Amino acid sequence: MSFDDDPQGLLKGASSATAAARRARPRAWIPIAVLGAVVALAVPLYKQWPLAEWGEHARRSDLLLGYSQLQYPALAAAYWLVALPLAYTAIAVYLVARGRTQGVRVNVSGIVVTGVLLALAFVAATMLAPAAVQQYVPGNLLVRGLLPLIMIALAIIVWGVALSRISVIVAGVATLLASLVSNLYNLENPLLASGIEVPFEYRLMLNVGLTAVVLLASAAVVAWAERR
Amino acid sequence: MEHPSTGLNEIVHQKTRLGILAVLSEADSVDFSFLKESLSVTAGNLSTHLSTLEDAGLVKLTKGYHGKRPRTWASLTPEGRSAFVKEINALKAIVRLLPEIDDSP
Repeated sequence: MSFDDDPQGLLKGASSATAAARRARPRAWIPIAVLGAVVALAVPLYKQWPLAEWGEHARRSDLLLGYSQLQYPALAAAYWLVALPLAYTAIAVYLVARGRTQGVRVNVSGIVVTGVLLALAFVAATMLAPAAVQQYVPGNLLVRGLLPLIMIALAIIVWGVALSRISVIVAGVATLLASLVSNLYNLENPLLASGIEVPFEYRLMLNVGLTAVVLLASAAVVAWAERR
Repeated sequence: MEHPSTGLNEIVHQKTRLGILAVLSEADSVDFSFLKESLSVTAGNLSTHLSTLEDAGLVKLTKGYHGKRPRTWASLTPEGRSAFVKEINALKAIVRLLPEIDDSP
């Protein structure tokens, strides 16, 4: 890289130097894609009981708050408890290894520590102290068992702020909006209104799928931004 | 109105040191070898400039090991980030003035 001493040359040189660092640093889209894959893999676990049996199961358990209407409630809750720490560990390994090999390190704790703490705190509270969760979390956020999606979005936003990267913050905000829709809205409603029949057992999968799609699309957008 | 050149910082306004700050502005910390290769400078030259920036409180140097290999990592201090942004803004302001200088008799 060559620098000329005139202002234009200095600016050009500084621009080339920042571009070299950007090319070498760990890719932000990979952690977002990993989290998108984790959410996508959760979709089959959100199969509900048929409508005729739904009420009975929904009332059955306080222990698995928000999961009791699912056919595999313990598996769904345990999935988040295991998959999220594993995903954040994989993300940490990638960020640290790439930083070491390329010689350009970025913030790791923003996503990993925040993500693991939020995920573990939520799932532990849901399973161990459901009464406390019911007392402090708005009721509508508890009925679908999808609060982990919000925790993922918050971790991405915190990481984006720590990195000072607009594209990551935007990805986090988009995921947060999608996760709120997933938690609060029956996504089958517009489909049913359009005459598309969605069996009751599979309706909650649409909610999980929405956040998965937004995460994976966000990862693609961040990847595109990083190639520029 | 002050001329934008008054915003230039003597320590930062040196091509290698500006390049170091530019690289560091994009990461948490950067390895000595990466800086040497990306800026095309010798190890001795880079060490001298890093020491100057460290003495001015603009850069923090951390020694570590990767296996048995010693590595030096450099990162920007908040003062370093601020000095880099001010320098770039001053340079841009000077460049914006250039056409007016060319047009003058």
